[in-house]
Amino acid sequence: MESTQQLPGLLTAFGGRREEEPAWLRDLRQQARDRFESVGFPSSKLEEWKNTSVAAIASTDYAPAPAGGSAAFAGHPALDFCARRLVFVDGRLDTELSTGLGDRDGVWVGTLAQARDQQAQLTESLLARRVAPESQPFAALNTALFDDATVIRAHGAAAEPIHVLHLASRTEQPAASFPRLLVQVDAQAELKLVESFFGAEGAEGLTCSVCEIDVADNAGLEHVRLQFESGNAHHVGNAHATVARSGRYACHAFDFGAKLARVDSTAKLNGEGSNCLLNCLYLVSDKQHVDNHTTLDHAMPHGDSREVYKGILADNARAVFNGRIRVQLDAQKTDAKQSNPNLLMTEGALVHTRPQLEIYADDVKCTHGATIGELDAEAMFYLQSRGIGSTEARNMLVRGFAAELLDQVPVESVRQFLEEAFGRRLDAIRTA
Amino acid sequence: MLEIKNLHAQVEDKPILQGIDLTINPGEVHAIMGPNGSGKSTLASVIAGRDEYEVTGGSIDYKGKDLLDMEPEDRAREGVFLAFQYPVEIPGVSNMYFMKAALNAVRTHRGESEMDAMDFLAWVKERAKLVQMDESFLKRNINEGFSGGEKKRNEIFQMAVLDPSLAVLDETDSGLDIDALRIVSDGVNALRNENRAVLVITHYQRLLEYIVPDKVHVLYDGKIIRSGDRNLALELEEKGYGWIEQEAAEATR
Repeated sequence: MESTQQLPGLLTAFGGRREEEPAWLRDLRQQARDRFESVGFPSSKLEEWKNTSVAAIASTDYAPAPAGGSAAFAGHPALDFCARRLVFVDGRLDTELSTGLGDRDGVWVGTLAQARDQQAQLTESLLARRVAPESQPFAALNTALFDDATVIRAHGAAAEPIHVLHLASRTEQPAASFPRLLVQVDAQAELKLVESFFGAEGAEGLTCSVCEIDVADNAGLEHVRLQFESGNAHHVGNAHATVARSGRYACHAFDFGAKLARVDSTAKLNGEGSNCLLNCLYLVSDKQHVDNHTTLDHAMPHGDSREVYKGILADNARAVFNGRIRVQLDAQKTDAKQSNPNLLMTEGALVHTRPQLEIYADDVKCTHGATIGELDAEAMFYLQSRGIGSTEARNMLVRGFAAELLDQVPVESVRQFLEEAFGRRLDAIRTA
Repeated sequence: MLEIKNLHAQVEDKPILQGIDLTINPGEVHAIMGPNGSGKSTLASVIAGRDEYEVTGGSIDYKGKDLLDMEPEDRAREGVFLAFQYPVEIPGVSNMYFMKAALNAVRTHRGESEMDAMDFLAWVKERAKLVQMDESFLKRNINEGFSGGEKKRNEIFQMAVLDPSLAVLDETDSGLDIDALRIVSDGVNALRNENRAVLVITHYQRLLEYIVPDKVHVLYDGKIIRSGDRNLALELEEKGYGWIEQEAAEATR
């Protein structure tokens, strides 16, 4: 309950143009607003927030960014990731940079406003059903304040990936945006989705995003999530996927940016024999702080989940990993594996890691492991003894550490971008 | 090529090498034998430049240069190669990528151009045959999931690719069955030539039946206490290290 004085400012600054919205949505927003007004920004006294302080967000006076930010992003590499893309600049859809809205290749893509006409049932059934305002204060904030949401519905096997790109400008007054994404993958359908967040250098804003995903019977979604915000920005994300019988959901997340990032990712195995993968690579330096809270919720039998969160930390960077695995009473024959290896490049870096297992079924396989270590001196010597210089040897080992995550990225253009971005970041990191 | 004089080295303040003198000329194969703890692996590590070992006295001259003054990677670029007793597993880095980086580092140092992908592939495929290594090994991560024999073959493969002037084989035979030993030895023998010197460090005489040395040295308590031809190895095999230890003890009495 801290810093609630400035809440009305935030809520009025971002609350406009709601009169044309349907009653159910206005009700939902009001609930969310009430919720946020009652709980406020989370205090670090709360267990879920004890290692991450959002005081800097709570004390900042955010305003919507002025229109016209698109020009600064001409030639941005992320614009070339996918031929089909929705591009939001400072939270506003840029129709000139976006391509492939509408229904084609087995996928309907559009905004919430468009979906209300063409996909009415979908939006009402999906919006805020997965990430309820009560689940987290920032989810409530997003629900109260999101401008226009993105809706994606795959009804066939899509050949081309779809990119939802968020670009944040550098503004005089810190700006905030509230991206909202709804994804429905119908039974038997397949989709590759890239969701990304980039910021202009020096941008100090806040991105508060929510993504709600539904994967139906025997459907598959490969979700790539790139968090490449500016080093001065704050990023708080909530992502929730519910997976039905024999459905497959994989998330490949990369947290390289932001001064402070907090992402809560939940995958619920809600049908028999469903399969979830949560992968993440976080690479942070200077005074960056990255906090990942994940939940794999096994509700039905024969579910498989794999979770690999790997961290590379340099300078005085901080990382938090809280990995919850819940195996409900009915979820017999669950097979869940979680790992959180961390590589510290310097003495000043710090990791808080915590597995959290709640197992109510009795016939399950559930393993977890976390490690925090430095580069292996013997491996360094091995590479050097073959003529490889110490910097190259170091980079080779760190690249090797990250390889399994980089190699699994299912969209080639993104994989290549990540490979290069990773190399550049590594070159800039000094080993103390 | 290699001239070691009165070499003393310690690890964590514990003296291990206590005055090694050893000269190896191009084309020669020398074997160093000795019981556990005699300092065999320390000698190999000091030559390759492993930094836990502190040299407290003496010198190593390699091709007219002060070897002890060089970083491990510079030693390798100058043609020193160590086949590890325990090769390291490196996840996420393929053998192929590793060898390309290593070979190009060595070539750049020699003032040669980097090898292009086609030439490199042809070269490694040819070298892999020397140790009967399947091409699929090249794509696998360095030593990850390799058997003991595969790891040792991989060491000799790397030696073949990098074409060193001085190869130090640190217990390359340990843990190998007879078939693997034969493959590894055949590989080393194929790489013997008049320009290359090889220092074979072993605990067992058996290896020297396959890699026949020009000279054999017995290392005991950080010193070379006896040198001879290959018959010395046979004598050791017959009488055991106890014989040498006894002689050494008597000599100091």
